[in-house]
Amino acid sequence: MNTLVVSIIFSLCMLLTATGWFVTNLRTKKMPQISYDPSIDKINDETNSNTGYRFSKKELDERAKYNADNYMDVL
Amino acid sequence: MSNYTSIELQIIQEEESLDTKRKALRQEITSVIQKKVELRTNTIKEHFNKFFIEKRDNNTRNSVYLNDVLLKSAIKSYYYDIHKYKDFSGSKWVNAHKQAAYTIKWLVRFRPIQIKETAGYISEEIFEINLKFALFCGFEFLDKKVNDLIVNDKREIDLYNKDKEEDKKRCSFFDSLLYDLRYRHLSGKKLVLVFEALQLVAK
Repeated sequence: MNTLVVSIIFSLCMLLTATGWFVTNLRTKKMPQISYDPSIDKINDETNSNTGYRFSKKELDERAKYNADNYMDVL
Repeated sequence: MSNYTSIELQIIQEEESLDTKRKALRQEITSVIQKKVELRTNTIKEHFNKFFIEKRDNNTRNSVYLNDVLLKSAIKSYYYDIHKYKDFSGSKWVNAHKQAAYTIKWLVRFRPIQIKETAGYISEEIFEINLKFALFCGFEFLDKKVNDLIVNDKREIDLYNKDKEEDKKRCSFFDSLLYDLRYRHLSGKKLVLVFEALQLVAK
């Protein structure tokens, strides 16, 4: 009788342990951690259509003049 | 006897070495930023006098001035923001959307156009002048198609609203942007995303 009770308790403990392990591992597999990734910004700056670029003063002067000539009714 | 394990000691040593390199690099960055701040501040002052204030009415022209200290602080903050971002992403130059967005962000925050003590009547235009100046400076970096899209939408909506009753009026993107810049916390990163979206539409 005692042996039977001990075996049942032991089996239950084993079952709980196995379930815990299984659930933890499933969770880990389903939800991987994604680290902060700076490469997206670098790609966005250097390879997209608007490539990273330093505007010269001459270009900025021309653009400011264009904006003043064309957008000042709004700006 | 040290509290640290050998791997911890190794990490501490490497951090100290990085810190020394970082300090030297920071000095170089500060020196480059100072040069950039001087150049950009002078360019913005020039654009303000030559293009921006010239197009205002007499009352506005006589009531405001461009504050040197505030302008320089805005430009300095802009470059520190950009360099912080470059450190993270590893980009050599940031793209036009970021240059526009961060220019607008810092000019709006510092409001370098101030009202003169001798100013008389303060028109409604003066309340918006810093926001519009920030957009004027930001527009210098944006694609002409994006600027056209924003400005033409504003013109169309204004025309539509002309003979409409108050509750039938519509709001242009430009007016929403001004509203957000004035009353809401619009971060540089969010503005970048706005300009990227506009670029997609303007293609």
